Amino acid sequence: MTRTRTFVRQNPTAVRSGAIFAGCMLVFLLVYDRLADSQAMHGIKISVTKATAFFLDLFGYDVTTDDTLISSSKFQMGIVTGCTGLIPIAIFIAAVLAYPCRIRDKIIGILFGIVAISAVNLMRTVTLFFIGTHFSEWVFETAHFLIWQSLVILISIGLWLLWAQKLVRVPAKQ
Amino acid sequence: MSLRNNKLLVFLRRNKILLFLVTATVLVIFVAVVWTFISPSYNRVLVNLGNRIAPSSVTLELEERNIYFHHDALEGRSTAWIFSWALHFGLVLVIALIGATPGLRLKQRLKFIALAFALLFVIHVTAIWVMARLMASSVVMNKNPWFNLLVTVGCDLFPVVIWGIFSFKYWFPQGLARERVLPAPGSHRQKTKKSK
Repeated sequence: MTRTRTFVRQNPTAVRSGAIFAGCMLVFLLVYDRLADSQAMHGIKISVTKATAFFLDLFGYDVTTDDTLISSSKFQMGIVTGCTGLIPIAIFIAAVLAYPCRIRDKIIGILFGIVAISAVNLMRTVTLFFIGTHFSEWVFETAHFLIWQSLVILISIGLWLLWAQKLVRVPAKQ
Repeated sequence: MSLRNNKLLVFLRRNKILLFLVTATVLVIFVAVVWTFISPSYNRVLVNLGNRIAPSSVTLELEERNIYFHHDALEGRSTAWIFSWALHFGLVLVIALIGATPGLRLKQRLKFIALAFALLFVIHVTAIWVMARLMASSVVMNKNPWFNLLVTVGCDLFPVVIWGIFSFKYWFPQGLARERVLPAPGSHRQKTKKSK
């Protein structure tokens, strides 16, 4: 208890940032839950489906889309809410908002994060379709649930660290 | 070329974040493959424990990688299931994150991994218990906001939060941005010092 109190007294900015992060995440998760079955979420899923199909087409795959389903003669994959990359984006935005810096740096960080994480998520859906087409179900499930889900969050953390340590301008010491 | 002078290794050693990302990615892949062999036993523990704490009308059953929830009143028909890897992929993530964080000693790393594992195990058991309770009260689980919130928070967010708490001071040894800045003369901090 004394150690906790000492930590709070010695790290006021860190404690405040932690509280902002927790608050933002709670709001995001409640909004996410409300949006789960909405038209807006369906629109996002359709966009991810179309973008994935576009890149698969570029790589020479003959795919068709039907609503949120991508199909080829060998494999078909559905884009669900969890495949939109919104949770890693929410974690990133909450972390950016919680970090003590100028508003301008936060806006740059959020825009940079949304674009980068969406790109990584697209890479995920494209490679998963590739894995599903060429490898066994076990390999697909391992790549889908254990590897790529962890990697998207890991890359979001890496992007945040990059932003916090390299892009945020700390005022010169006086 | 010796390993010590390898340009890529020298570059990675200079760039802490990139080194962390590369190490964590390798660890995610390695731990994920290892986890595919351990997860059947972990699932059995979850199901056995779940059966002890679940309401008497609900029975949990493991079929391959799915955990099924059977309700007695529904004559054994499974009305709900969860894909176990979707529930506990966070274990893979947290092990990779702690394993790749620079500046930690091996003993600390192992201690943090053990603590994170224990915390996530508690979250998984809680998630199973909540699912069983919802099943007993005939709520359609996947439409229940608290179920969705718990699984999302437990799977995606908690591993990150646990890692963040453990490794915060190794990433920001001098504190966050504002704490890194020395107070200007006559600033609030100095005034507070004087008032003491």
